[in-house]
Amino acid sequence: MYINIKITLSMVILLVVLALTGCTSNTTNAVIFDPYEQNNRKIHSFNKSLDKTLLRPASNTYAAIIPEPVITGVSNFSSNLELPVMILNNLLQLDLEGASTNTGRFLINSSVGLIGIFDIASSLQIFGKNTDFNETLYTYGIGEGAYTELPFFSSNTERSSAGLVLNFAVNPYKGVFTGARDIIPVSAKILDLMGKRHKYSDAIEGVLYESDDSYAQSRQIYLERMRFNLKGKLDDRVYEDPYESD
Amino acid sequence: MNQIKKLFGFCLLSFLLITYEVNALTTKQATKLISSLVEDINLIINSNKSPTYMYLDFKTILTKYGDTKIMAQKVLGIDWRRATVKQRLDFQKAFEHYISIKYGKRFREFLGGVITVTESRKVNSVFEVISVVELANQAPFEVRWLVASKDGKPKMFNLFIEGINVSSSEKTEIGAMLDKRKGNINQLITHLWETN
Repeated sequence: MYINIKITLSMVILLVVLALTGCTSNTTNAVIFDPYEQNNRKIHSFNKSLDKTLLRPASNTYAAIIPEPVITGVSNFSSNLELPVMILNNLLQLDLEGASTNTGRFLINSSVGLIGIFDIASSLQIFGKNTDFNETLYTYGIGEGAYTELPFFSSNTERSSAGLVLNFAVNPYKGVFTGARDIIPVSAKILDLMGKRHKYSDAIEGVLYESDDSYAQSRQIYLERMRFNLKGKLDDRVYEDPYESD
Repeated sequence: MNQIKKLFGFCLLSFLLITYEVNALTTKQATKLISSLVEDINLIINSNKSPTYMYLDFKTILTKYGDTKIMAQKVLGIDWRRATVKQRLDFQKAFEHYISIKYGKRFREFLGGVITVTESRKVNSVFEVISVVELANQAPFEVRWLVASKDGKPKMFNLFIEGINVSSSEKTEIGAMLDKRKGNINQLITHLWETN
């Protein structure tokens, strides 16, 4: 069993490394690098129809029948389950500060917060640091590659897609949620997603259904936000004096 | 000779001091502008006004602190050049309406929150003022404002919500709207006025 896990893990890592070396390199230095736009647009309309027929109605029903404190509790529980992988990523990035605040969050919320249902840490102003394998790969100097819209997982880049694969491979709950309980993390995540879909409904609908080009909007918003969160600064090109150009 | 050196040194020193003073003054001005802008927003998001009033308040803030003409020009991009003087002005007014409703709506998410200016700096010839939005039980996030000097007066010309470039995403959006209307600026203006 243990050997089996090890083999699958090394296979996955090998695949991810192979995939990353195969990342399309952005030779034009364009802000938006999207050589697979045609295909991405098809996936985008698939994701949109998925939202329209499934996620949106389900989220509305969920929010209508479940009391808000319960929705928040489920969301907190799911976010708390994600902390161990974040801590692993903090460590891989040699970000000890992030690792320690996230560990603090995890310990407080898992205990006093009753297995993560109550986000006590946030009320104590311990917000931790959100991170993922995309950031780890970024820290290791890997470029983001082409923009990629994935079915179900929406906006990504080649690098963040590889990160998602790693995220699935590192399942810290193997052996924790056994038997029928092993669907708990995934179910919590789906409910969390539904809660968020409803909470940020104005913003999401604005982009998906009120825009004249929802694909271009989601792509731009995703890329700018992701880059800002990774680099902590804006692109140098934005500091152009608008009164000087003409 | 020594005296000339002294005089030269004195002149250089005063010149440096003056440039520093001018520079400091403008960074200060930019910070002051955004601080009062943020104060006005804090008042809106903590008032119990109906959404309609919130949009109107937002429009007032936008035109008071920002330069909507330059914003309109940036989002229309290359098409601004072929627009007539009347179209430009009409587009600017329609854009003000559209942007206030679109972003005014989003203020509901900020209800009960507090925005604070944390730092300012000069980059090239523009000023970047960084503010932090704190909402209950949520990790704080940054809104950055860009300010430039228009005839010596500080004016806000762009903002970034968690790194998302508002001017640039609106340029994409307006571009898509215009494409859909086969480049017809008048139809675009009518469409912007229909935002609700």
